[in-house]
Amino acid sequence: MTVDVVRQPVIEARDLSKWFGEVVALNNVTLSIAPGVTGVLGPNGAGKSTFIKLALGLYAPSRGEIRVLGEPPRNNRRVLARIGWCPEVDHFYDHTTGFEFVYWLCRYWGMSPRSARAAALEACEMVRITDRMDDPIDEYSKGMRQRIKIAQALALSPELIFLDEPMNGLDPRGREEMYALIRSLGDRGVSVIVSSHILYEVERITDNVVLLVGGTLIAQGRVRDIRELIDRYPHTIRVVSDQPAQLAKRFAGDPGVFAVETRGDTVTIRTLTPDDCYETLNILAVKAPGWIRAIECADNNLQAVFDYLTKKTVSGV
Amino acid sequence: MPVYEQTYRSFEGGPALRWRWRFVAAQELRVLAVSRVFKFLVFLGGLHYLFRVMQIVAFDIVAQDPNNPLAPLLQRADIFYISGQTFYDFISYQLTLMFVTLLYAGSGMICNDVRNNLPEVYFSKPLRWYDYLTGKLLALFVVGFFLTAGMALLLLLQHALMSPSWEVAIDCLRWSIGALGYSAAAVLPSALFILLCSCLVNGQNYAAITVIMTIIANTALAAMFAETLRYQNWYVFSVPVAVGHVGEKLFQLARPQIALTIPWTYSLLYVAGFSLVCLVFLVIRVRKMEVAS
Repeated sequence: MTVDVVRQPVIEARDLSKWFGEVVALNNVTLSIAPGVTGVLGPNGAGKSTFIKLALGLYAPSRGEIRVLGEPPRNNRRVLARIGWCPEVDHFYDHTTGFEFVYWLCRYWGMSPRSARAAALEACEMVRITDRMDDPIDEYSKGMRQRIKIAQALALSPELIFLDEPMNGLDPRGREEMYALIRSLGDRGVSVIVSSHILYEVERITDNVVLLVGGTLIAQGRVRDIRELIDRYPHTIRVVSDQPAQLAKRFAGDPGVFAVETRGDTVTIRTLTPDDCYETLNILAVKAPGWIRAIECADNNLQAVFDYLTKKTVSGV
Repeated sequence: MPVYEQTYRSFEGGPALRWRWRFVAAQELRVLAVSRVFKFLVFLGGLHYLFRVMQIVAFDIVAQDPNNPLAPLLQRADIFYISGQTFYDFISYQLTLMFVTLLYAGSGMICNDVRNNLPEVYFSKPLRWYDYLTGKLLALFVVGFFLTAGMALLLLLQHALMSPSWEVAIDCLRWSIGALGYSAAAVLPSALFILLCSCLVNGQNYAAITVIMTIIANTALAAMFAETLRYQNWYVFSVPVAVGHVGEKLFQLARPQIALTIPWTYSLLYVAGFSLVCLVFLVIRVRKMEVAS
């Protein structure tokens, strides 16, 4: 007898809808998220935070149902005891140190003082804030606040962690550390749901994404599948250069490039072969440093991706 | 048919799932304990307590010592005489301080959490609305009771120990019940109403102003009714007057200051009803915070 062995989903939503008055935040979302690291992608107002809050039981579904770790999460202590959440906005007590913040949230979770102290210390170490954990949070930078929020989610050793825009406010090094941390959590068997509006960030962490736009689920699957979908459309690359005219001339004849536009010191290149373009730009950056001051891939903006996908959906292409 | 593999461990307990309000209360008390204003207010309460300690020492030891040259003077001075009135007065004076302290401690308890979106963080943990509310109320009760009944009970214990006799012991027991009842009648509605205002308005200062204005309006209305209708019992409409009326009866004062002819149980029922209304609205608001819908 052959059987399909599948992993039990950590989140299952069926016809899940949530509306606030006349505003529909989430509309008929049916999905299943497997264990592991998953990115919930969407532009601002896509319904990412609403989806997470429904999964946390903070919102009651207006219609449909959601099950987390096999059970409805609302008012369900068994489920909530197994979940960690790093909210998007800063939530802190006044005049409290980072360690106390994590410690007291562990106590609220139900840990004994000794366990809470140990868990808070370990979590502070994980996010590399041990040297500043006894300073008041009022004195923390945005990035440090972000770390301490993540620490309170990790301190509970949850099986499922929701990280709502965890990279906000982190410097490049902090982001790299955060990517590594999230990947290591996934390696340890912890399921992580990361919400973000930046495809690049999610791509660094996981290959599994859920795409939401306007409260509707528009795609779910691997990032590369979405990339391939996007690759059918021209990419836009903006280059800031000291020699914009010469740079434009350099790309004007390349195969795959079908439009080059110069405005001030910025050259906008539209191409169907972005990888070739990036390679050329890298070579130029080495050979003639003055030519390239900055490169911006406009299509890395998730809104552009959504625009492509939603246009496809509307036109039925 | 798919066979599901169990990929996460089943819940095996671990966190304390009962009496979680104690964590909320402990955190609130910890936050208060480091506040300078709070410490100052408690210090003021302590000064009054120390004055009463000296009064009891003067009456129980110095005034009873025939060899002490101050004894005749202290025996004649009414101010040093210890009776039910002494403890009633102690609590009455402490009530003002208790109210100011609760106003400081409680007016921001919920609205500051809401401002920082902390209820979302709390309720994403295995914490329910009743844990949250009970913890907040308990923290205020502890503070309120410490400043009133707690200190009064210590004074009563001191009095009972310094003049050991059955009569004094029985009096102290009776006054202890009075102290607990009077304090409860004052602390309960104060804590509930302050928390309710903290729930209803956006900022700590607004909440404090709302509480003060409501009490002024409540007492002014009671006075207006009483004077307009020429019926003194209308004063019971004022919560502070009703609380005082209950206190006087609990201490069985020989010379009551509040001139009400209605039974004290009416005042008690009014205070209880006021507290109940506050509690009902508070529960509604906090439950809404738990699951926004």
